[in-house]
Amino acid sequence: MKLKLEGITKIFPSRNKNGKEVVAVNDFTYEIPDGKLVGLLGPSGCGKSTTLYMICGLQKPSSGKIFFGDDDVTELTPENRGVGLVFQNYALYPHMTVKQNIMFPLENLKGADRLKKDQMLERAYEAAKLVQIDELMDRKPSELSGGQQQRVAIARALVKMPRVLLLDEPLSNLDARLRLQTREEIKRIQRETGITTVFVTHDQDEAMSISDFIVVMKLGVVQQIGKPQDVYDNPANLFVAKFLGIPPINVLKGVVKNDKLYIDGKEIKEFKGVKDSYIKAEAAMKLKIADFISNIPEELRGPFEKAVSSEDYNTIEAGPYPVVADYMRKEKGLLEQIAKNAFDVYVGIRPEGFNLNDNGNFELALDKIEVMGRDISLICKNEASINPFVRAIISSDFKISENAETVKFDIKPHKLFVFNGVTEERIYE
Amino acid sequence: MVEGKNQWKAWIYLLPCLILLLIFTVWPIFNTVRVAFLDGYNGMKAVGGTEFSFGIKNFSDVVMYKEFGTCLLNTILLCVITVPVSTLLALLIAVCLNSIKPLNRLLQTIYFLPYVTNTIAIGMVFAAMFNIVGTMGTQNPIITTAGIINNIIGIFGVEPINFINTGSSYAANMAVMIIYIVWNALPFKILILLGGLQSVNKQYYDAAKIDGTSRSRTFWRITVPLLSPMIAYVVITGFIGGFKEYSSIIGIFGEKLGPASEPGRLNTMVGYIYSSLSLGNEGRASAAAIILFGIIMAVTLVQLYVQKKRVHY
Ligand SMILES: Nc1ncnc2c1ncn2[C@@H]1O[C@H](COP(=O)(O)OP(=O)(O)OP(=O)(O)O)[C@@H](O)[C@H]1O
Ligand SMILES: [Mg+2]
Repeated sequence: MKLKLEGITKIFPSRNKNGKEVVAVNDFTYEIPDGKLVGLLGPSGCGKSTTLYMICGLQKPSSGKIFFGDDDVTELTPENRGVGLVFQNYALYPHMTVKQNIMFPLENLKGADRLKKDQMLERAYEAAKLVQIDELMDRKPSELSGGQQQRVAIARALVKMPRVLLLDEPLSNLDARLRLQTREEIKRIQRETGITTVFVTHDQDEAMSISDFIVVMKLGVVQQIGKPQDVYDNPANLFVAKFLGIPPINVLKGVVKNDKLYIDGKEIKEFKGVKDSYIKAEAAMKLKIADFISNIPEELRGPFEKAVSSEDYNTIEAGPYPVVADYMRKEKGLLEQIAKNAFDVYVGIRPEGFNLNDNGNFELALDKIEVMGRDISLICKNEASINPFVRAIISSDFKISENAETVKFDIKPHKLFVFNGVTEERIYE
Repeated sequence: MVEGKNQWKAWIYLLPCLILLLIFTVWPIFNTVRVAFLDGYNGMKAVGGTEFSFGIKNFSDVVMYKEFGTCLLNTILLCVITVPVSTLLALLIAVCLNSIKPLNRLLQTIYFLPYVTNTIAIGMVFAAMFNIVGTMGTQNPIITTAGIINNIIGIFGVEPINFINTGSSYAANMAVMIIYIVWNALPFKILILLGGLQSVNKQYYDAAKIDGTSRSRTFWRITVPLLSPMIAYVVITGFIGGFKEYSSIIGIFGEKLGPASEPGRLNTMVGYIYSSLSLGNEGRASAAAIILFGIIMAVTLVQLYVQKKRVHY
């Protein structure tokens, strides 16, 4: 069954009068295809759990709609949604045995759905077998290891054959080895049951390895949705580029002048279309500000518009919509660069995007070499780098002298991304 | 552990406390047992200046005495009825209080009032409420206003009930006692259970919702088992307190321990011990105290046994 989110937004009111309200999830729209596993990915506090709780009904969206298949479930209580949820810390009932825990959702069924006692047992054992805990049925949760508890939680979520399975960072309590093993298991179980699944994690490795699709979030806003490899190969903005990939992407400051990209004063390659993209970004920003103002209640609009037109940032930031000041600064920055006709950009280069080449046009100062068996990491320095080091990973077939002062590279074109220096959005050639 | 050569220091620190305990707790307990087995002991020398002889006459006296049966029955009845009732009520109230966010402070103060108010004072108020005439003790037929309870049930056209005055029935007396004791026992129990509820992880309830659990099943299958250690504590202390019921009877019926027509009808075990003492029969009082101790001990042991099977820590 497909799962459709239509502009769901969750706003938590502020605790005190003057506090700012929290927009935990902002206008999330996505249709998860039937039987797929989707990974919700983002740093702590970006609204992943909140999204999950809205899907299962423990929290009500402030606006927007949720559909299971063609049914609008936005107003349904969790009891009536038929979802399975695995909590971050499992929330197994401590006073019940594993068997009782798994059977509990079945015992709650009423009317026509209600099973006979032996059917319930059979279903419970089926679910337990699926996660390989059928040996442990008479133990209490406190007598299980973290990994076993986690599997019990999955069995409990699966036993009633939910329409949607939701997992909230289910692996965060496990050690590294068990984590690897269990994530494969989750993938296997999901394939075998074919239940549409949403999996929350802040570990990009985890999300990439088992998801059919990943959704990258930041501060409640969806940044990018796609197949893991596509998102990795084609990040939509600097945040996504930085968030995905281990070791992380190298970010350097660059300048584009006359359709040529320079890093640290040296020309790297030809790069067209930057000016157009800045002009577009500026227009979009202008529209965003105007749109914001038109949505402000009548009685607040007057003074607010005045502050905007006089560029009185302090007044705007003290007001109810501080974010507009940020937009305005960005717009101004864009305009300045368009006027100069020289564009500050961020250049992202994946560590695996370097080819050793003595005639290459990208030269870096070599700091040290890390050998990792299959490949080696060249830890280099460059003035333009945002991070302290630039890391280049090359095959260990290449031999590099320890004493080399500098190394020269070619950069693989599909491993290099250029981002707007102001908005941090990707600039496509 | 304190090292060997410094142990005497530890003992010195403990000494003041130990001495007081010895004088006021250990010796009285020991003496009670001793006195209980001295036939006819009354605090003075036996007739003829001889010592009292050892024996179990005190115990047979206690059991033979006709008031003893009444006292035992009253005590057991009050315990067996009020402890479960007050525990269940306290549980329900605690669950309700826990789910009400506004007015929480005010409600906490209100439900805690009985706990800090004098038992006798509350008893007198209850007596006035259940009185058939306006003020307790005034039997003047000209005063026709009944107590507030009778006034209220009068609105529904029910004849006034004689709860506690001359000529009232045993059932009516008991009903008043039970209501009063339950009401008095609630605050402490609510306090304990509410504390327990507040420490229950909210995620169990979220999980129960996801699992499609109805409200009543959530209560019986999740809340009650998770609270079972607190419930066990409240029940055990409730029984121990219940077997020592006495001041509440005085509060409502005064020193007569019953309606004017039937003095002593609502007497309890502690009342029995007390009256034996005041009659100068210390041997019998001690024997009765030991019997009461035995009963409380037995009941507590049974509860501890049940607890092993039913309580989830
Ligand atoms: N009940 C609440 N009241 C107010 N704010 C809340 C509430 N629940 C969450 N928030 C806020 O909403 C934002 C998103 O929270 P959420 O729990 O969804 O984050 P998350 O992505 O799951 O993070 P983590 O990876 O740390 O679990 C956070 O800023 C959080 O402080
Ligand atoms: Mg979370």
